[in-house]
Amino acid sequence: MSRPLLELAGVDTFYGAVQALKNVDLAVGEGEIVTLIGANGAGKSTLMMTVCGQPRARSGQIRYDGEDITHLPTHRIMRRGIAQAPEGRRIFPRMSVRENLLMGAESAGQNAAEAEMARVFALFPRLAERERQRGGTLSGGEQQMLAIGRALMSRPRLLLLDEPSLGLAPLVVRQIFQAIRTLNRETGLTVLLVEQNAYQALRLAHRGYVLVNGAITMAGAGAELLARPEIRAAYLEGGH
Amino acid sequence: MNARGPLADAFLSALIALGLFAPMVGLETHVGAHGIALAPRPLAVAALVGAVFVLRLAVRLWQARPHRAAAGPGAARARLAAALGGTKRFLIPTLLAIAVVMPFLASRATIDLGILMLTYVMLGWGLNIVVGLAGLLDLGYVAFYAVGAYSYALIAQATGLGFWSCLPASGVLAALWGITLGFPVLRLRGDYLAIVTLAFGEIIRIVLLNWVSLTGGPNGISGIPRPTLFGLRFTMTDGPGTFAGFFHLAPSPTHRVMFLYYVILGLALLTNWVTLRLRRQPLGRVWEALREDEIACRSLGINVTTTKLTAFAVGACFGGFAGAFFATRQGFISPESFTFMESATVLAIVVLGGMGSQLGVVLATLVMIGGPEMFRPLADYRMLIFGLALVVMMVLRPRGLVTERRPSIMLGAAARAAPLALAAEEVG
Ligand SMILES: Nc1ncnc2c1ncn2[C@@H]1O[C@H](COP(=O)(O)OP(=O)(O)OP(=O)(O)O)[C@@H](O)[C@H]1O
Ligand SMILES: [Mg+2]
Repeated sequence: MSRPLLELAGVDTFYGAVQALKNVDLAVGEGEIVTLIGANGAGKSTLMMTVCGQPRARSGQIRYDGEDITHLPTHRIMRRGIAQAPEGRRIFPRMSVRENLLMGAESAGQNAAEAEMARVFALFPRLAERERQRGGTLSGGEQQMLAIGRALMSRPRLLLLDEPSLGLAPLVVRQIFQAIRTLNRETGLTVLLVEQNAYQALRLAHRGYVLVNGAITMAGAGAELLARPEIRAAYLEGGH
Repeated sequence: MNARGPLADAFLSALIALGLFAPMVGLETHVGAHGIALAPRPLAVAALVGAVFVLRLAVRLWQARPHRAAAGPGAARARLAAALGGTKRFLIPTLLAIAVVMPFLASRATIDLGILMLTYVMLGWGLNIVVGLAGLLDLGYVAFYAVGAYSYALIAQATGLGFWSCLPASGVLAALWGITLGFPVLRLRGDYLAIVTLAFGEIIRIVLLNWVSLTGGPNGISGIPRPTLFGLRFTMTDGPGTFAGFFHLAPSPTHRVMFLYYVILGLALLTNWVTLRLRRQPLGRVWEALREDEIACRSLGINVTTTKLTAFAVGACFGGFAGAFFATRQGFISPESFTFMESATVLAIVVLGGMGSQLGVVLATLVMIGGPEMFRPLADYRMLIFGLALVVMMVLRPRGLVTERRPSIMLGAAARAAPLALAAEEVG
């Protein structure tokens, strides 16, 4: 692994009295695609949100680019080059595609917004065709593209993606994963990808982590995890 | 669309109407020999309930009518949206022209009504920033109106300054109150926010009522200076320094009323202009995004705290301007003018207008403030008709009068491809 861009060390997160993350250690190297897989309720989204400071880690440390960001307010964390496409996309339904994208550039300042938008449109031509359409009237796949595009507008170094394949047809999932790969190869974007779609995610990622009940139980190279029988049994049975 | 059949639905509506009207309309009080006696009025109730039944049935049948196959619902909606856009293009200049020439043609009473309506339009536009754009339900907007009014009255009393010098201070003080209110309620959402703002509005009124040494308590403040036109006073004489004297006109009380009318027209248009400008700015877009999805905003690195505070402050500032105008117009203010009813009326205007729509606020004011005045000859039935009109309107246009929201950036031809999406929004 290259120099770590994001590191979690001994992170515990609670919702009230319920512990959602237990002593999590995780690292994402600069230029890497790392995937986090796990069953429903394992705490994947919680881990991603904890990086953003919402909820806050009760103990442990989160470092980004060598700096401790554990206690920074959310908007400050998100202004350091981290961007997120949250679970369930959360695009702004009544705003146009263009406005949604501009919102993504908000934290980075609007200066480079046009150039950035051109790049997003090059990556997802479907969005360019629908520039004036309302976010809420896009198809699920288009909405996901918009959520990713919006996150890219702030020119992040680290992109957090929470289940981008959720509810999408296999063809669209392939398109989106292809876009992630392209971004990673061509711009060196670092990606932390949360997925249920373990097969495709592990094939795409350089490395992977398995989260079970809030604790990391396995880690390794994508291909290596794919080959393990216990992974096959737990996450891959029944289809790719 | 609900699953009940039109008949069942109409029946249910009639039942609700019966429950409502039976006590309200069905019982009449008479002052009889032994105090107050109740007389039943079954026919009136029956008529009303029947009317609700028929109306509801008609609405349901009208909604359920088959769409013309050839055009399809999409095309129909696109036409509807286009028609709406077309009307809007003419409606706005027409309304504006009427507003500008009206004082020269209308009676004094009508101009007074115009001033009242414009005050509500301005309050509606101010509140629209908080509720319509930023999506923060504020039930205590009257607090800022009151702060503006009392700021002007007190500063003018203490310093002898006139309306125009005090106006900015009124706005700034109201904005400061907006921020003060904003801080404790930042974490609250929806209903909780509504309750706290409601309480805040009441607190301001009660403080004004009880802080007798400063505000005069229930007696209020009188002798508030009237506005001047570049130092020219509006009086009943034509001496030097008066409007009539300067322009060699016969002194007339109408001059001041007309002047006040144009002052509030100007202030209201300023509010509108600032709002429209802000909507095109990043700040306005962030407000709207906040209304849509606060969590998404956070995930985009937006500082939700400052965004909410600016919305409160800007909205409050315009409320403060309107308050200062109210004070200078009346020449007298007391806590009675700043009750919850005012907040409710302004909020009703915003909601009825279709949250976030500037034109909607104007139309809703015409209905809400102009309507009851129009029906005045009908005496006791005025509020009944007004209520019925509101009910009918909410049935026909449940999302407000003007529901479509135009993306704030519309460029060239591509914008014309959008009506479909606009209309889908409206129907969906
Ligand atoms: N806001 C919250 N308040 C209380 N408990 C929560 C909250 N959010 C999540 N949890 C709990 O924390 C645990 C982890 O949830 P999380 O959303 O992180 O799971 P996940 O791995 O993302 O699941 P999925 O794949 O279904 O999205 C679950 O038991 C969930 O019920
Ligand atoms: Mg999740």
